Amino acid sequence: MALVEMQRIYALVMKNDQAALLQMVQRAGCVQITPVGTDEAQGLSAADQRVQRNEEAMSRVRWAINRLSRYDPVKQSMFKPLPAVEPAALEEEDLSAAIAVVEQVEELERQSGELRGQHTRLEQMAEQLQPWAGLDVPASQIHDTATTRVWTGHAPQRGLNRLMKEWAGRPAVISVLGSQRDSATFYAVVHKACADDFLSDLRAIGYQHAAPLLNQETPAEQLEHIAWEREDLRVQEAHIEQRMADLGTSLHMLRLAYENLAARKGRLDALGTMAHTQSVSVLAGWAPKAVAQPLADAIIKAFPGAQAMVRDPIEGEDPPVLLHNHPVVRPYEAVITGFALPANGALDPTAVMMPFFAILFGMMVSDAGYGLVMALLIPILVKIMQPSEGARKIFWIIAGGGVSTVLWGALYNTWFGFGPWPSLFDPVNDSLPVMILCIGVGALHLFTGLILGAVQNFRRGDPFSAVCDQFSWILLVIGLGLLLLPQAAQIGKWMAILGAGIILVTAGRDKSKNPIKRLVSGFGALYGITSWVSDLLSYMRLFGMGLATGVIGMVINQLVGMIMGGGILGIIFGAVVFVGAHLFNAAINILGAYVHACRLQYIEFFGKFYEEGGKPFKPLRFAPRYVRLHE
Amino acid sequence: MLSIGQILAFAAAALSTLIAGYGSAKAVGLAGQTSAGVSTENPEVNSKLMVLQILPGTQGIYGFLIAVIILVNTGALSGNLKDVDLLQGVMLLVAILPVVVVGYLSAIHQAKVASAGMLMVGQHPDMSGKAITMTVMVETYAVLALLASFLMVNAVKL
Repeated sequence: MALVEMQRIYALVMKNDQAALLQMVQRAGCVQITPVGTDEAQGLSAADQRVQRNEEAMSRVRWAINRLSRYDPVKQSMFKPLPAVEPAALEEEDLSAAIAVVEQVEELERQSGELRGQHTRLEQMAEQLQPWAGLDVPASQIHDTATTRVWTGHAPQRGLNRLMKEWAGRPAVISVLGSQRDSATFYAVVHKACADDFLSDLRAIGYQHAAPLLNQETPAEQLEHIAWEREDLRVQEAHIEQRMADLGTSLHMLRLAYENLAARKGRLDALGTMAHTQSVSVLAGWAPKAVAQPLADAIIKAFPGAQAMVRDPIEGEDPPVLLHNHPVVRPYEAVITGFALPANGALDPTAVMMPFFAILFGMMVSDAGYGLVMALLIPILVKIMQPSEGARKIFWIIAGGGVSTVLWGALYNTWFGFGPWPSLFDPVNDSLPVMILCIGVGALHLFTGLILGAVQNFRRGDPFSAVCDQFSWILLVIGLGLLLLPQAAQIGKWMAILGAGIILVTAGRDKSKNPIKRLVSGFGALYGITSWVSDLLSYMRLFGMGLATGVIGMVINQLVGMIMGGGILGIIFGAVVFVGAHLFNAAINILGAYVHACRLQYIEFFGKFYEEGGKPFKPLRFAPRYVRLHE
Repeated sequence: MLSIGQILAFAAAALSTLIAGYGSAKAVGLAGQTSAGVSTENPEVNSKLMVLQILPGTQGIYGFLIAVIILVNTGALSGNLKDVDLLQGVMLLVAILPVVVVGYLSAIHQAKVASAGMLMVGQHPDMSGKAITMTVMVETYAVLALLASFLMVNAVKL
């Protein structure tokens, strides 16, 4: 449960070998490359340009992947593992085939954009022509003559009707071409003699001038042509989409190309971190102790004239932090990294936290039926989905929580919301024992935290602090707890007084030499007892969350019981509701149990001992997103 | 023939589902809007945001839970309604106060923390664990209110 010991590794190679060296380091995947030193480091201007070109290629390939993803011949699904490839597939030098595909996609997209532009233009023209579709002469023929004047435009339908009625019998022809809502499109031919009268009448009804575009064809003929052109565009667009769809078969190649570029980016970034002279390149980094020396030997062997050395970290250096645990415990590292990594030299609490996490999780889900499903279904899901490392950890945490849930569910006597046997703990009808149980588990959890703090102090060679800061509190809290029991009240009293006394005298030992000031600090520390009350009460959530699962499960069963009463259809429908509702209840409660179990670790448990602040270990390695590597 | 006490018991059940549920609905809605906004900027964090979005939904469940317990205790679910006298009815109405008031308010506050957390996750996706922890901090008081209401409702012996 200790952190992985890191060593500093240096490698010096001839400049022509730098790319090969980085490739080797990336394949090994266990060195975090750091700047060699502030004065020697020289940025590589040539590398900068390569970095830029590489980034540009990456974003183009990524864009093409997104554009083509809907034509993927292999349907993606949550339950399908990513395709597995050999590491060598991520080290291709020549990506021209993939870049050629990207160029094709870009060209097709450009054409498609042009077609869209034309489409929009035609659409606008059609929209303008639409009101004039009823006009049976070309617009170019509508104009004033020697004796007549012409008006075209829009006017309110009702006013226009009135106008037509008023002007009936006078030398004017008013023709309505069509109307949209209240507004009608019309043209009017009026004898010049009464043109002024007509215009003033027209204005009175709210006329707006408008005219069809000048053209030799009638609007109807123009609309027909536009429809043909649009049809033609549609055919061309379909053709382009078809060619895109055909390119969908290249998606795997594009994804691999992206992974290659991403791996190359890692190496180029590393190159920028290394130091270079005219003829040699120097790499410095952190590597786990177990692999550092073998890697250094391998580098010397692989490159002529290369030098490599390994040393332990020196005072003042802050190596990155990597957790290493037994495979059973390893998933729970995700809980730690979700908060913050422990500082260098501090404890890795994963192994100690694991049983508590499972217990707290189980108490909150607290339905043995749900626990069984989790414990049995999740290993199968992991087998089918082959999830990424991070997701896999969460899956295993939930599966482990499932096992614990079966135990707690059996104790609480809840199986899919049913309670088949009488039970020791009945949260609904007799809640006091369950509440005491929750606080008890909480006290155990918190004391374990204190003991870890004591272990940390012992490891530092400071047992005095362990007595003052940890054992004193254990004495005080247990003593106060015993006070509640009449038989043990006497012992409890003395334990509490002893604990409080130690805290009072020693809590301020680092702050001041003045005994009065120390006592004041001691009182301040003693006031921390209030935080113990709130920490312990915080574990009441175990009861609340467990109660929620159980009661909702019970309600579901009661509802299903009612539905089931309705004959054969009722039984089928009831079964569907039963499965669906219990799935929903389980999902909500698993999520709740997970986040609350995390919180109890982060705030209550870690608050007692945890020293955070480690920087995560980020080695140069392959980290593919579209594929997974063969194990 | 229904008594006033029985009606008060039903009112207690109704209000506890109604107000706590309303708070949660409002809260999940608020968080959902933020989630949609952040996802537009950074679609990849969407699944992380969904966890944050449903966290303020639990208060509604707690309110519903108290309602169910009232219905169980009054026998409404088993079909033969027990007699509830006036004072017992009033006691039930008092008993739901924690889950109703704290539930409603904490849901809204939790949604605000969740929304702020979403903005944080949008910028730093690896901080989603911290955002969830911050949001869950608010929930503590809803859980305590649920327990208080539950104990009080159970203390009304019918």
